[in-house]
Amino acid sequence: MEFSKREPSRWIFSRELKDSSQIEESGQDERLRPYIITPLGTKVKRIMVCGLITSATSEEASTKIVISDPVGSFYVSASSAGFNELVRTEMQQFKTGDLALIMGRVTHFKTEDGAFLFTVNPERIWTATDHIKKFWNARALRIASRRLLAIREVQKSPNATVSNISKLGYAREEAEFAINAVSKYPDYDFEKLLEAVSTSVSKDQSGELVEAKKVVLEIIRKRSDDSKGVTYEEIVKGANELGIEKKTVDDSLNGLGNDGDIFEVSLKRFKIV
Amino acid sequence: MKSKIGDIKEPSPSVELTGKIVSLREAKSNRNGAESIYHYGIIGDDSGTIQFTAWNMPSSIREGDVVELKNCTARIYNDRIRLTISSNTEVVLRPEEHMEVKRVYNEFRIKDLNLSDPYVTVSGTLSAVTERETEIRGEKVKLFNAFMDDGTASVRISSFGQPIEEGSQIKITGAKVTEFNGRLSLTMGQKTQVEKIKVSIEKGNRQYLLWDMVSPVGNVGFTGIPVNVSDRSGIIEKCSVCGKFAEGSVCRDHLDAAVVKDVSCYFTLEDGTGSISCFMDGEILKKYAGIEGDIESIDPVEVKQRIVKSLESTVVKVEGNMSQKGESFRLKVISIGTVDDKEVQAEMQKEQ
Repeated sequence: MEFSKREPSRWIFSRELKDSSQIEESGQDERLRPYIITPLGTKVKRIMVCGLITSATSEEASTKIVISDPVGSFYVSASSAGFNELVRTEMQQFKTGDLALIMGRVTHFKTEDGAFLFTVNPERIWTATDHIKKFWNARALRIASRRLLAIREVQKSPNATVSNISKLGYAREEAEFAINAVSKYPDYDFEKLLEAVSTSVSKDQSGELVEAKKVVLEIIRKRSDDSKGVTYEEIVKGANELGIEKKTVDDSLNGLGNDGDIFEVSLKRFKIV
Repeated sequence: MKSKIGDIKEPSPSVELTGKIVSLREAKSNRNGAESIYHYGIIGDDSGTIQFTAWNMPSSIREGDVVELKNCTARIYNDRIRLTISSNTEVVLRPEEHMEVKRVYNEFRIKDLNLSDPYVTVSGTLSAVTERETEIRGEKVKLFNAFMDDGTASVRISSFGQPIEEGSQIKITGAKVTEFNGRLSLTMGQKTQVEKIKVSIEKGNRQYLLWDMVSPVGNVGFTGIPVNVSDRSGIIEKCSVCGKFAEGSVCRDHLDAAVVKDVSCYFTLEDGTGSISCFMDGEILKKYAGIEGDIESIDPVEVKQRIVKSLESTVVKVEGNMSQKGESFRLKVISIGTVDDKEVQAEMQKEQ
């Protein structure tokens, strides 16, 4: 039994989508979009994401924005052709630094070397508040955490079925997703993904990461040599002196890179964009 | 050799038995774009009951019929033994035979009731008890209607003949789970056992994730983000007699009745695990959307804008009564509110 014929939006973090490498066709009808099966087993066609816009560009034929969550970024693109012309007009009102809530369908592109790239074609975009962002983060983390618990149960019993996993208290759909995860991503480190997401969300919710990013950005700005940039060791040392630990510096550098504020000039040397 | 239903414990490629159709339901299957109709239900005899799926059921078979099955298959499905009636199965109606069925009633929380387990044991507190007389097979019987709540959800309950009291806490064994107007109901007959007990009901613990819901039950809640507020939202006209929509200022059932204006809205709630269509109207909507005063005097466009503004891009906590139409769940909202920072913080702690 389903809640609705309408495809519900999945609330997943960008890293879960980015690490996806399995596509499942929706049926014989070629017009139907395929499902993307993520490492946590989520069957994705439509997603809803909430985060900070870190880049917004508009050209004649398309409008693109990058929206960041605590662990990475989603790439959102609306073209002047097709059904999302109206939402493209709405997207053009948003600028870098705005908080946005976006619901859209995910399309994939496979590169020559076999990697998958994902773009969100927006259906709706709304201005978000910090409160909505925190709720989205918390709920998405709750769903991912529950999924990990179900995955652990599947890993314990090689002959796990949807029925016996759901008897442990999981919804049938999440049991199905957990079985998907283990069968389609046998070598994936689920625990590492959850740890990364959980740590980053906690810091994001408390505002710790936002503050740390400001400090790290300032260190790079002040110490940046015109050509060489600042070494990783220098940044960690400078941040440590201000009470910021190495792990938070790493998260800040990842976040600043995703936000497009810094770039890596050479190995472990960073510069302001 | 004929099997007794209670003895069917293992898979078998060919089973022969005589049993009574305890429940029979029709469903649609859509495999690879091809739609087909199949039946499922429960068949029983004096040794027990078993669920079945019938890909080929003669149209003359009804609930209560005694049938002889030859060459059906026993399989494990969802960890339970189940019969499959296929095109190879011979189904013979035995209209002259009567059969007593031994039933086993599993205990359920109201939230988890479903049509696949039609005979159940449920405990809860009764409210809104009404009583009227009805006729069954020419005999006058007292029909009691009420709602039963066990702290997980509520469900409508109908008792034929057995009196039930307002506020009483009871355990009922052998109630039948049915569906009426898209909502789950429980029916108590003369054979249903009723026992007075103490039920502990936890207040304020009815917030679920949408993927946890298996059936349309009452008094449950969800927290999520409303999307797609329908264009039909705004000022509407209702019949002053029955309260139904009066399209074109006329009620189809009460042609002469006056119509009154009210507000209503439809929206889809997304909670990250699913989506549900919600309907909200009257004072609940007016209060939530900040619509004050006589709605006749407010610009309809402004009313619609207020409704949309109050719902979109916000986090809401709704409670209401679910119903089902086709494969879709719906929620008639009975309360709505926003979510505060403490609740968001609590969400962070869940499953951690």
